[in-house]
Amino acid sequence: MSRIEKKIYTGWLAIPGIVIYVVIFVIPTFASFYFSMTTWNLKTSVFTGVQNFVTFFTMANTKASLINTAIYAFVTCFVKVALGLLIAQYLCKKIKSAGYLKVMLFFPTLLGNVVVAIAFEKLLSSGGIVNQVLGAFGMEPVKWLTSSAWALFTCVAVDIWKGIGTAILIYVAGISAIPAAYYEAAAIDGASPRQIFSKITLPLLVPTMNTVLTLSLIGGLRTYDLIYAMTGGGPGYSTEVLGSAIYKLFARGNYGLATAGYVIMFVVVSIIVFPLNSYVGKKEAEL
Amino acid sequence: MVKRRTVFSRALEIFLVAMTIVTHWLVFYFIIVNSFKTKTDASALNLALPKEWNIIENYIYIFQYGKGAFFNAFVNSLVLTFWSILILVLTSAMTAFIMQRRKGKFSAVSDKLIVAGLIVPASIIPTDWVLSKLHLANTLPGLILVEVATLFPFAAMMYKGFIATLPKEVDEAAIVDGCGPLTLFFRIIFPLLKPITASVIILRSIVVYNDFQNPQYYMSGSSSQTVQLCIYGLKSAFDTDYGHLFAAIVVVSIPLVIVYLILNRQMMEGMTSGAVKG
Amino acid sequence: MKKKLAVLAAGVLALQAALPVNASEAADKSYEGVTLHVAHSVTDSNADSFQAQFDAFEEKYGCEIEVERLSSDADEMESILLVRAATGNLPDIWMNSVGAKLDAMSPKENCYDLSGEDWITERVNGDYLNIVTDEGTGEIYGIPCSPSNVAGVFYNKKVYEELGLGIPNTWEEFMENCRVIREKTDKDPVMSQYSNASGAQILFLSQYYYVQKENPVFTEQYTKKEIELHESDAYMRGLSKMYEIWEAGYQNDNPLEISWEDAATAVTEGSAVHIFCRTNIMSTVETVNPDAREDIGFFPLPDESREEQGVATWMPAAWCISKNSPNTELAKLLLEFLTTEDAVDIYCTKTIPTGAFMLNGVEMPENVSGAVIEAQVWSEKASTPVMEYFCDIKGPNMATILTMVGTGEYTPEEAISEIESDNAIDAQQKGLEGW
Repeated sequence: MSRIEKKIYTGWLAIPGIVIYVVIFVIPTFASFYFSMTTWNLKTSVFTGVQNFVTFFTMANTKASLINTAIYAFVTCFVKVALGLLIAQYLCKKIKSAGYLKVMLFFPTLLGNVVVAIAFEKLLSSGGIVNQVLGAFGMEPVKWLTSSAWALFTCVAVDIWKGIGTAILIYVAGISAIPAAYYEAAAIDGASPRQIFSKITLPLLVPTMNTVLTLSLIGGLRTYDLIYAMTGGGPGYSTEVLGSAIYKLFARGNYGLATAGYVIMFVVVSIIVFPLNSYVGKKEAEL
Repeated sequence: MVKRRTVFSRALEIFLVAMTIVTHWLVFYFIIVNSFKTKTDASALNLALPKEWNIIENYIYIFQYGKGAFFNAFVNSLVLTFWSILILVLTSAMTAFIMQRRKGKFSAVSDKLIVAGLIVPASIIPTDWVLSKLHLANTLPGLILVEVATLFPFAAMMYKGFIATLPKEVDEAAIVDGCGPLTLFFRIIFPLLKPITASVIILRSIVVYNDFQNPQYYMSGSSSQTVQLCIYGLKSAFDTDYGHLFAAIVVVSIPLVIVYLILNRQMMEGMTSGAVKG
Repeated sequence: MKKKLAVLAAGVLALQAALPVNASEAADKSYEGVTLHVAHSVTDSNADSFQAQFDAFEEKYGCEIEVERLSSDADEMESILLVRAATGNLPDIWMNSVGAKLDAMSPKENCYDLSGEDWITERVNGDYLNIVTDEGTGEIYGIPCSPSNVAGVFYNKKVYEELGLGIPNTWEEFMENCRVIREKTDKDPVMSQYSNASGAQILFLSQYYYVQKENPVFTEQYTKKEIELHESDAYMRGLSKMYEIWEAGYQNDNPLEISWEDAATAVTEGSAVHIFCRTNIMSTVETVNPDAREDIGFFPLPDESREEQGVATWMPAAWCISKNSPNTELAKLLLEFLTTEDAVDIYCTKTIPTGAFMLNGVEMPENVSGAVIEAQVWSEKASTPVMEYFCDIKGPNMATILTMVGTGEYTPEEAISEIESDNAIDAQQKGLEGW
């Protein structure tokens, strides 16, 4: 690099961002490896080795929280990736209501998770409007959020309702970035809409799809506040996820153990997302 | 063939629009109409129009609640969002610019660190420990730093992707004109990043303003708590007082709707410019 | 410019440091401009009472009191305070549970010692002083912030009259009454409220009276891990009572959804008959259905023996002053004010007390309901504070496990082994000996 370049692209410009990031994110992340191996009251810590990890996996709610987190993350992610693509693809056609639908489907994303949780808790309560409608058709009220059969499913559905707008938005951006020339060429060759979709749109959308996939999978694996505000992890452990299990430990002042929970979440997210990302990345390169 | 598709497409369109009426409009209507009702009226949790319109009373009550506690929290959230986004936009754009333009060891290391930050969840309790060492625990500035640090990777990646599309000739022309690093960045580069800046502002404002987890861990019970936390507290305070609860929800949701309506178009532009890559 | 700012900042700091000193010399109204941060976790009508007391104090001293609301969940509140103590961010004054939970706060490091104040022993009830005093040093850490609470069974007297039921003296008789109610009416014999952590634990925690009757050193032995929980029959009966109510189908069908207000409404209206609760339910009754308050009666949680009945009590939480507060003088004035009869009168303008104030010479006002008086009689006759005053071991999943017992997902046997291992985790994390 030339001296002029070194001077003009001075490292100082990058410093503020890097410093904040390193001090507030990177250092605590490394610190968490140490604290996860201690009993810790925020002032003093006693080193206990891998004891916390052993303890975490013997906790009554750990198994449920791992299973629920997996179900939650994969289902919400799958629906957002697949249904999001279908809707976005459709919205990019010349239909009259496309503008309206884009805004409407994105709208729930603007609302906070706590706001959404409160609204749905009331909508879905046993005397709430949804059950009133079911009742009008002579059906028994459903305990959407307070029965272990339904609660996780309901949380997943609400998450999709709230989050699919972002997926659609990213897809729409990706689709409109595809140069029109490709489609024109395909049209001249007499390709059918299905062929156009599978031979042009889909391959060119792989990077976008990768973004949606990664973002929603990470979001799902880390999920916490929507569930916490809606069910608190209950009934029983039926909607307990890693995030809520960790918060409970924090709330009892078991900071070392809670940090171990974080490290476990960290590892779970990494071993799922990193390989997936590089696999999709490779596919991307092949195309 | 062509005709059948059109019919199908039409039907699908009608179906989608009808669906949003049930799944979206009714939900919003439910929240809003109940925020107009008295306590007894709202406890029915239905879609009927209020028997007694309690609009002004409900909304004034919310703003006066707890000697202005709700209002304070509301202001805190706006302050938090404003500063977090401002700092985030500046720092991540500057870092991304340097990282994209300078290809060296420094860039490579930072790149890896930042990509990891996209995936790894923040470890909250050790972060609080670091903040307390900096005497920033439980304060709004501390929370602002946390928000900036958590969102930094995503924003930096978005900027970096976009800056890669700006030809280096732009810089060179500026250098020839005698621009220093600061003028080059702020006068020439930053204005070109406008579409990305718009999408960072809107997408990340949503995240910061609606953040619940970080404030819950870092700011619980603090006088500088945010409005999301306050709403969660109201959930138990207004246990059966849905009129006030929903009024609070409506108030909380308004700022982002406004930001969205203002910046929607620029945001779409920024996203279409092909920069939303993880 | 920078220099100017620094000088200005230094000036402001000096001013802040100087204020309390100046002010303590002068009398009333001299605290103008000083802000006292007070944190509590109350959201019901008690909060209005506190506010009224604070307003009066502000009026008197010209200072400002800024209230911070901590979480209304007791465990969460404790954790928030622990974090804030550890990070040096305690408010000037805060509300802290007493007993083992006060010990957990390391009061020696965090709480201002009140033993030097002449008003404290004069005003605060001796029993209460005992639990907020450090045995070794005699330091006193707090004053009661509200009346005490007594836990037991609240029931609808009218329904009892209609059905000709007598007050049950044993658990068997209680279940028999429930059976009669179930068979003869469409009312729910028991209103269970398990939608929050406090509701899910009350019946179970009140059982502690019988636990300590059976084995007076149970808590000490457990803290040292000399016995296991399941070895106490009385402890197990706490779980089986919850389970039996579910098993017999005597409770409402939506315990996970209702709030205390819903529960209070149902019992006053008579659509449900019993509720396991603390006396503070009566302040909810006063708000939802004041006309029906005398229709509500009280009896202790029944157990095996009709002779040995008693109740568990919740001591009022304490107002504590932070050792690092820059405004200790003013904070002490506030605490002193809160122990006066004036302050108690102000308290009673907003809510009707649910038990004894734990202050000397302060009687319960005459307008309290019959149920509260009855509960108070029991509290003086046969009572103990609940177990958490003596032992802070409590796993993170306690409330969830109890909810599962109360909704039939766990049998008492399944629950106890989970509670034991859950508690063990908490004890280990706290570094207790023997665990």
